[in-house]
Amino acid sequence: MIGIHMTGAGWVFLSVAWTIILVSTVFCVVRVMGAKRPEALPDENDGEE
Amino acid sequence: MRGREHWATRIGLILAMAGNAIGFGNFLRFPVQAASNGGGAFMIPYFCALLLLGIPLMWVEWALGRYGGSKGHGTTPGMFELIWRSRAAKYVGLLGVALPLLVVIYYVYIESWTLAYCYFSADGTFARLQPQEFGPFFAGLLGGNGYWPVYLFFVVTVLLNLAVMWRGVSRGIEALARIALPALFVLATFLVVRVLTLGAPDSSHADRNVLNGMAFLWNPDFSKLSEMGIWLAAAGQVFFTLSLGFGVIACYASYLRKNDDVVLSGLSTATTNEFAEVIFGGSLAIPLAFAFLGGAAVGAIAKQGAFTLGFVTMPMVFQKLPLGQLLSTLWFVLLFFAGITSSVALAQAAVAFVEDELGWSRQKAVSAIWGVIFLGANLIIFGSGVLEEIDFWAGTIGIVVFGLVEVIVFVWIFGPRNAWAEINRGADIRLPRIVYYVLTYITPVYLSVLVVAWIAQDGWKVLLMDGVPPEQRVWRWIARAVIALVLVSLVLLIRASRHLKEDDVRGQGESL
Repeated sequence: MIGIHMTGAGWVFLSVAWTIILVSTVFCVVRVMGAKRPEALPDENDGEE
Repeated sequence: MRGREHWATRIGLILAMAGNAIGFGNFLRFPVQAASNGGGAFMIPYFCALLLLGIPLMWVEWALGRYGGSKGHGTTPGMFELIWRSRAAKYVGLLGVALPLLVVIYYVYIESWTLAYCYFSADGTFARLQPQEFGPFFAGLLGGNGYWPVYLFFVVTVLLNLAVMWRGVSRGIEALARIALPALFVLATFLVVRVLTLGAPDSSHADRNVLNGMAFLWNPDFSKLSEMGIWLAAAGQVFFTLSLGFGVIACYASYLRKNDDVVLSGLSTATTNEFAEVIFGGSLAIPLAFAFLGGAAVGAIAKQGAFTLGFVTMPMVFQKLPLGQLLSTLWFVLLFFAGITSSVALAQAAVAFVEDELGWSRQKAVSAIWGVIFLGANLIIFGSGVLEEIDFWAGTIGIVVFGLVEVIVFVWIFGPRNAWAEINRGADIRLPRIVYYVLTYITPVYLSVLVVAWIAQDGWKVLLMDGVPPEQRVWRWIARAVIALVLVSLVLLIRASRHLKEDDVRGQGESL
């Protein structure tokens, strides 16, 4: 069984993992919200084969 | 060519894709895998698999789907045929319909447990149980006299799925995701805050606290890194959690417009899923169970697997908390939302296949496919070991094999340059060139190693039914017959559709 008190290495792993995920999530949210194309815009090429 | 539906909004699409990915695996399977495979050290192979396997394969499935959809194909048989001009292409692509169909047959049954447990939490049944009664309650409900209450919830779950899919991609699946995913995040945030502020609930056991529960999950055991098993477990978890290799992402992406972005949207889906998995999933079940039961008990629970953690331990420990009845209900509502957004995605591949290949209407296709799922699930409910057998062949080995096939077809048969251009078409963010080399070389090699290692590690044992109780063997053979039946039926449907299309072409020629 892994030790039952949070070690320094445990904090490092938790902090690094959470930081990577939080930063990537914020990056994606900002970029998706800031994307220039308007939502639900009909595509000129719709129906084109 | 019949016009295809499209996603109404980009946010709706990302939420639907994330809903497909976020499932029971995020909240139950991930913490169990991490706790049993080196704690924090598990995150090293996990992030390696995510970067080299998960996200590249996610982009492959998105781009493959958008490409196929722009030419009128919503599932991998048609998509493969477009790229790989061979008679074998459609038949190989059939796996992208068969695998999700086989998996949803048992997935919807597990989903119905969460609905049943919402009810039993809310009506006070769990509040009246003693701690030692939760295990027998779960076992009895599934295999004893309790069949009928669970069966009722199973029927309701099937009807709810059918109702969502009946309304179509945009008005049904997307509308569900726009409600269920935000609700899931709100519920998870509320529960995580409650758990992390719990401290040590029993003052006579001060070491049993949430922080030490987090330590159980995050303290690294570096000695595990030298074991092959931890690398396989991490890659398997990434595959399972991102819903890769099912053909479902490609099916959803087929409803994109041909110049819609797939790079940023695919990355957003992956990060949303990781948020739910590592931050929410890692902060709920294991820390909470640790705070009430201690390390030795949680270690034993982790060995028993995700179902014990989710359906025995969690309702039990919630009852020890103030407002436990409410918290337990919210936990199972959260799991139900995670489940239904995944089950509609799994069923969508088969529905789209029937719509595209046989030209059936949406409602006819949805009714037929959910009829098949309902019948198949009865076998899971009444047959001992059927779930485990189908889960291994379709939900474990099958998805990795099909993930490898997708990469070979899209990157190598289509051509690495074509694949790269297709992925980057309409992209809202620029991918670094290194991703090209990862996609072309590292991802297929990584996947090949996984396939070989898993077959060597578990494939022979499962094939020969090593360790299977004698009373389960007949049911396991029936499960294999069902898998074969699904594959043969799909092959026959492909052949029938070929004849239908040839007749159509001949008819049009004669009318001219």
